[in-house]
Amino acid sequence: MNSLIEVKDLYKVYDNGLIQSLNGITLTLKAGKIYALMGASGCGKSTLLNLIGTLDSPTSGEILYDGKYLNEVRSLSTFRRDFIGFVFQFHHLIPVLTLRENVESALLSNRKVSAKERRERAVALLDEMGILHRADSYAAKISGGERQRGAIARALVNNPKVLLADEPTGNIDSKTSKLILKKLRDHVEQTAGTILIATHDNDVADIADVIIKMEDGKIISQEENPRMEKK
Amino acid sequence: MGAIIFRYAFRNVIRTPLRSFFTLFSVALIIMLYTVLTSIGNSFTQQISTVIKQQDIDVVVQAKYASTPVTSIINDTTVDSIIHLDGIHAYDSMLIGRKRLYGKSSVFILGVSNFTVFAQRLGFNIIKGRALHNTALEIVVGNKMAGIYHLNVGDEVELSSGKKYLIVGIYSSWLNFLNSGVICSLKDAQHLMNKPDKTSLLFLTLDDTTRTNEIVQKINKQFPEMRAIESQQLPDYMGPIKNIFYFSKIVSIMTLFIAIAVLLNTFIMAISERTREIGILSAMGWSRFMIVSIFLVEALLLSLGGGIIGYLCSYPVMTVLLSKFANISMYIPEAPSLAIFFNVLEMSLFIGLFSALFPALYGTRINISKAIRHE
Ligand SMILES: Nc1ncnc2c1ncn2[C@@H]1O[C@H](COP(=O)(O)OP(=O)(O)OP(=O)(O)O)[C@@H](O)[C@H]1O
Ligand SMILES: [Mg+2]
Repeated sequence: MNSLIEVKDLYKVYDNGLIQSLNGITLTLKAGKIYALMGASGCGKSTLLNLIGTLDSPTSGEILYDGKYLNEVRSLSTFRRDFIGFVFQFHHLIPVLTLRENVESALLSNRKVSAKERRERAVALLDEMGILHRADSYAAKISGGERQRGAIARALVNNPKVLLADEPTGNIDSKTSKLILKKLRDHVEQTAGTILIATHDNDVADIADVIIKMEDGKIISQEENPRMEKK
Repeated sequence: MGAIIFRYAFRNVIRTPLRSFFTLFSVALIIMLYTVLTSIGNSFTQQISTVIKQQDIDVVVQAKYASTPVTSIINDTTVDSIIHLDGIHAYDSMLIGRKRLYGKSSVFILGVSNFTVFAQRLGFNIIKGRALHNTALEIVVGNKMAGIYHLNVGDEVELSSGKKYLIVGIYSSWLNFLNSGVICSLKDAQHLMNKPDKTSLLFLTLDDTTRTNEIVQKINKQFPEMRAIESQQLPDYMGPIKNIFYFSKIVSIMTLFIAIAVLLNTFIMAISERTREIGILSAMGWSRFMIVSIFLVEALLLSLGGGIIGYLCSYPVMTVLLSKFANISMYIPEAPSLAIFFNVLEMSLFIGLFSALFPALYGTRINISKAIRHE
């Protein structure tokens, strides 16, 4: 199976080396698979997601997307627009935009997608997430769980090959959480992409194909999920 | 794409209603002041220019080193030589000066070679009595002067010892300072001001206006102590007009600076408050250009909005000024001109773009992951 993301010996330090967030991470994310990234708070999960998503640059080490070095990509904003979806640890919708506009905004810079198609895609995703009735409400005025689902719709709307989700099911009831995970599984299969989910939630780990455990900026174990293999 | 960006920007403006209100208010106030001051300045300049340019005068001559017409002295011999130059069709002359009246304040005296011609040129209206007929010892007085000294048609005034002058008419002029003056024949004025055989200004009408430039140069060369000016260019030489021109320029520049300072302050705040939002947009793949454009649209909403409101508010302000300051009412137009409206739009555009561009460019040079963690 082909690998979408390759991470090679990645280091990230903050505050001139005072904080070592990542201490030599080597990792491969393969197409069609969901990865759960687990570990204690502060072990570097968000940092790793940010580096893979090109929101920050590593102190040393390499990241490759589909065999190409990310530090050689000319326009990172276009790269993110076309290949990356992000669900932030704290949903982070734009409060002055409606839910639908928030979802559409992730497609806004892509001229290849017409306004009509943009709208249709946004509406379809909101429907699947069960929040279509909230489409025209301002993001600031809807519940936490609804926002979280909106954030996932926004991350998926550009059909990203790589979805990076930071605690996507935090503060959500288990029914909604299952809905979200189901959607993520469908997405991976439809796009032949890959998903990396940072989480403390065992429900999430249960549906992942691979469980990666981190400690102090290092990967301490990486195992196939036995339950998934049974299928 | 445009629609969402516009809505986004608009909602950002109303997101901080109080701040946006005060920003809008300040810009409107500044633009209103600009509009009123510029309108008054322009109207003044225009009135003078129109009057001058409408004349059948082609060339004006005054003494070279005179800073104002009052200090200009031209000898009759010089006048005589100039008017006999080739190509000169007709001429008129004028003596301007001041004279103490009744030992009190000094009044403005204008001696003219032909009253009808000057009345027409300077926009005099006889509002009482009749015009001056170039007869000795007759005068017309300005309405303001008549008011101050309780003068009326038929009264006699002693402008110099032993000589009584008969008031034959009362005039008013749009040139306000002329309204507190006296007009008489050139001869009488020369006598009153003790300047026999002298005039202040000489006005020439030419046979062929295409030769204007040539004749101006000829006069300036042959009479080095004189300065001839094409009347079309006269407004540029006039002290008050020059000053008004500079004044307008200073007002515009100050307007720009103050408005930019106000908006710059607003945008530096707005952009630092929205660091996290900028981070999220970047993470979603928005280019820097798109993010900057949100702030530009926002700034344009405030600056154009403020500009238009300010321009519109100048109407009532000018109406109030007109009613409160009747004595300078001739310089206050009833409404600001459309040209000023376009100036205002232009300035607002510049103010908005300038004051949002730099904070936005700076605010989008961020580390995205740090920006998203930003509180
Ligand atoms: N921009 C930054 N500046 C300084 N230190 C940082 C920065 N970002 C992360 N860190 C530090 O790096 C370490 C790893 O942080 P990270 O956010 O990756 O942890 P995490 O595994 O996502 O934790 P959690 O489960 O609580 O979200 C922490 O010690 C954190 O304080
Ligand atoms: Mg985290």
